[in-house]
Amino acid sequence: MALARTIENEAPVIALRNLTVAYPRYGGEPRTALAGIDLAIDAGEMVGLVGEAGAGKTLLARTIMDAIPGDGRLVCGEMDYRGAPISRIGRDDSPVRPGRDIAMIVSNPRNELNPVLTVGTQITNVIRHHLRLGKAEARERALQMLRAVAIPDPERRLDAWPHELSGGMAQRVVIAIALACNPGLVISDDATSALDVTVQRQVLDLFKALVEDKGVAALLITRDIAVTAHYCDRIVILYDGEVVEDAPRKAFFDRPHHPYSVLLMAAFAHSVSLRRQWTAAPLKTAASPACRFAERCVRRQPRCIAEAPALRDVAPGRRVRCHFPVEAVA
Amino acid sequence: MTLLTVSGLVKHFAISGSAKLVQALNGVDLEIARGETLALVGESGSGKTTVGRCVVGLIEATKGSIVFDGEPMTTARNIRHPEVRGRIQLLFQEPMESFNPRETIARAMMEPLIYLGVSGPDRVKRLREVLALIGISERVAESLPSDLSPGLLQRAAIGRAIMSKPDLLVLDEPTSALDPTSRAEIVDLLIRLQAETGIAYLFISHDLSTVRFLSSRITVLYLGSVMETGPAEEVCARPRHPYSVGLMASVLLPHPSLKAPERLKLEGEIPSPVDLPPGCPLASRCPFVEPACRTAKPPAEYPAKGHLVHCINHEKVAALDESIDQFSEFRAISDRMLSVGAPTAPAWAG
Ligand SMILES: Nc1ncnc2c1ncn2[C@@H]1O[C@H](COP(=O)(O)OP(=O)(O)OP(=O)(O)O)[C@@H](O)[C@H]1O
Ligand code: SF4
Ligand code: SF4
Ligand SMILES: [Mg+2]
Repeated sequence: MALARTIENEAPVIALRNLTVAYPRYGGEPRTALAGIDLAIDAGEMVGLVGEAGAGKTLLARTIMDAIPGDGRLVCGEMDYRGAPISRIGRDDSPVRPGRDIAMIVSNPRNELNPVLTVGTQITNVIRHHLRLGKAEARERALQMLRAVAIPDPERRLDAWPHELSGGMAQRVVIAIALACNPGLVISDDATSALDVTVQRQVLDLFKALVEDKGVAALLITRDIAVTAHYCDRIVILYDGEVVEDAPRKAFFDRPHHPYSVLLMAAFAHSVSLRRQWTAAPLKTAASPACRFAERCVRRQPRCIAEAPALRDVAPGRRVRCHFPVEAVA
Repeated sequence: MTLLTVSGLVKHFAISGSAKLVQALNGVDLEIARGETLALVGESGSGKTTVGRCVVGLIEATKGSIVFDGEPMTTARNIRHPEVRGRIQLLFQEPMESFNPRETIARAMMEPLIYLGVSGPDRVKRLREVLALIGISERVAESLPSDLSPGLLQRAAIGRAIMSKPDLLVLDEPTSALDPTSRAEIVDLLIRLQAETGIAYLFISHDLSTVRFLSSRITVLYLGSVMETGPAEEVCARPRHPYSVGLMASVLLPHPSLKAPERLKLEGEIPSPVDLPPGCPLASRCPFVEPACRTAKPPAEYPAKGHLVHCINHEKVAALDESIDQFSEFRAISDRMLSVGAPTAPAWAG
């Protein structure tokens, strides 16, 4: 028993293996929107998932939440929550529930909140539903959560309506709701990008502190690689539905290995010479290349067109999907 | 030589069903010289877009004046007036807004010249010139807007805006809908166009890392008032207004070693621009606030030539720790880091 528990505690909070999601395409092969995602997140770890528009960031989050949008289909893959398979997530008999064990925060907090219920009612409803607490206990827990997200005058805020909250306050309330039932995993999907920069810093600082304090596993999804440089333990780069790089923060920013990661950094540096170095001339061949990044890659070779690169280990805790990664030269 | 002068610009909006007013702009002054870029930065509700729309005469100012190339700009004499038409252009945040979904890129690009009475052959000639400038092929120009990526479409929108060889281009958040790589390409293009054609930009943005390298000067706006105006490098590296310091400290750059020192913390959030109290708009959040800040608007002071600040305590701000220009720092780090391992041979072309 003791042994079993130790093993269970050591398992990552969430482990995704070979997760593949496809969308049917009219008169053609289905489009693979997520291709064999392998990813695990430990308790207390904050993983930054970076990718451009359409890379599949939100789809990955929704897949984990068992809410694939539209007519997308989970083609294959497995998910474990604390070492136990959660293929039946969302069913009535599933031990793992989205909203309780896995919570998600999205970018428009106002849309998340019900405009006709007070803040207090919304938090306590979630708490009572998932934790089966009585009214008074739930209210106490709600207050505790509002304090945890540093909302001033929390007693009064319990009776506030969502429209009375500023963007930053509304996002704090949404974070409070997400963390109220002690989830193992919290996914933030672009949750701070709509906030003003001065407020974004406050909310990210708070989120990071809560994740560390409660030992929650966190997946921070963003288009802004700069956010991950300061808040995440590990950086995962998603390109066209594939993980192309996965590395500890310091190692990643000291030397990104995938040509796309480098291109991203060069874009932020606003260095024309760097970008010229890392931007490829168009590819002439008509056939779609095996490496999904080949069209834009300066390092591509004939092999990249013929053979898809696998996500392989290049150093402890570090994976790259590239035949010719950028290695440390110095 | 001054191209645009905005003085004492005030804009209030009525709130329907209420006697109250949204005080969007409360006396904004700014100047743009020929061929330069002035960036207007600020958080939401600071009034950036409103300034842009007053400048082109799309909305009427409540008070104040706008002078473009020696002549007033008003809603009566606006961007569509025969005397002004073609000399100021406006670019939107959403590239789609510049196009008609059923019209090819080429047609849309030539359209501004029709209103200027340019002949058909001359329109085509100018189209070719501009396509070469913006790096879009004639074949791509024959496509419909929906066939282009957002980045490419914004590139075409810029092309459309410069067809008439304007003196001034007003850009309202032109890159905020784009991915980082397309954003950087657009910034490069804008810099190159300015060098080649001498066009001036009023660049409205909340993205400080873009603004740092694109603009000559920066104006920081907060709740409809100018906080600080100065050379881009000065405002970024040595901001003199508490709000600018807080803003710079909030900027995150993609390297763990570049966390801006929290020299100053702005408490809370931006108040709503309704019923603004008298005095300094930052008073509710400023760590340096004192009673005098709340009685009258702080006057303009000039800590250095060409550097203006509206804060009675700007000397205390200047005395904060030595600051760094983290934007340049990051550029230096990436130059050092990313040039290692860069391919020497071009990509295999297929
Ligand atoms: N037509 C309008 N009617 C009423 N209020 C308006 C109108 N247009 C703008 N405002 C108000 O004026 C203030 C300044 O708005 P503006 O759009 O210029 O801000 P901004 O700095 O561009 O913000 P953002 O970065 O969010 O676009 C805001 O409080 C806004 O709500
Ligand atoms: S596999 Fe080839 S084309 Fe793909 S990223 Fe690596 S070098 Fe570039
Ligand atoms: S005038 Fe006063 S309140 Fe305003 S920024 Fe300066 S010190 Fe702060
Ligand atoms: Mg705006």
